[in-house]
Amino acid sequence: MATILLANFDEEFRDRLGAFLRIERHIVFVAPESESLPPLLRQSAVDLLIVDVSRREKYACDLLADVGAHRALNGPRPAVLCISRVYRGPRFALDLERKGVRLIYV
Amino acid sequence: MSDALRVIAYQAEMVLLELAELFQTGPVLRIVHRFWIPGTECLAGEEIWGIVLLVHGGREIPLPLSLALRQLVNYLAETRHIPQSAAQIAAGMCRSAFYAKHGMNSGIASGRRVTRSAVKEYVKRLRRALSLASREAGINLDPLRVLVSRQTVTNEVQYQLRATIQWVHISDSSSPLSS
Repeated sequence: MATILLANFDEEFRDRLGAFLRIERHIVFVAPESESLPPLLRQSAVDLLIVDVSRREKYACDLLADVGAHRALNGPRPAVLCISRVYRGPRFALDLERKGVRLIYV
Repeated sequence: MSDALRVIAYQAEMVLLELAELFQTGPVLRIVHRFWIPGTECLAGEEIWGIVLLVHGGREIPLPLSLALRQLVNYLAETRHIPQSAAQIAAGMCRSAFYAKHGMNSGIASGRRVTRSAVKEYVKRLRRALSLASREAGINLDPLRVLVSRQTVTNEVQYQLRATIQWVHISDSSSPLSS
């Protein structure tokens, strides 16, 4: 059982993914888009952050930068999994890899 | 859509598993020995060619280590089940034929004499190298949790490497890797 935070998803997909992960006995939160991420990461011990990088690229990049800064101070938790529904090329995947982020296409 | 959900859930489990493994057993370090003679393993005369940090997707991040530090990591990796003081490490490395004849299979010996006081300084440098490599890998490991200092009942400090180690042997730098 892990604590998973979902960010930058469209509402329908987020709800379905959240329900699916809850069935797998994980605790699932949704990152409020109006708030910055670091306070939330500090408050709750998040194990995994799942970010949709297909939409709102600037917002997704800011999120990843926030998580990177948090991890630089607090160690490897949370792990980050990025999801994209559009192919972004090898350079994009490499940039994410350098940040210690896993990218998958769905 | 259910296929996509299943793929995400599977990958999420994988990432969580790797994270748990990282916390429980530490990072994976690969130590490459060169000038290997087929049929032997970690025999005196081999050279510790390089040490890399392995991260997901088979990415290899080389640790920026000098010869003495590579030898220290190799020794700590060999004896990682027992914490040792700086004096014990220095004594163990001086006594071992592997370090005395380091690199001899190439025809040129490249040993370093390690003293007790040097071990303490090397530990600091090794932690710095681990920190740099883990930052490059994006995993930001705490080097104090990888090269652990253990207190004893006196003021002596013992060191222990907390990592999963892989040794890889190659006969020279141009041959393919074989373990």
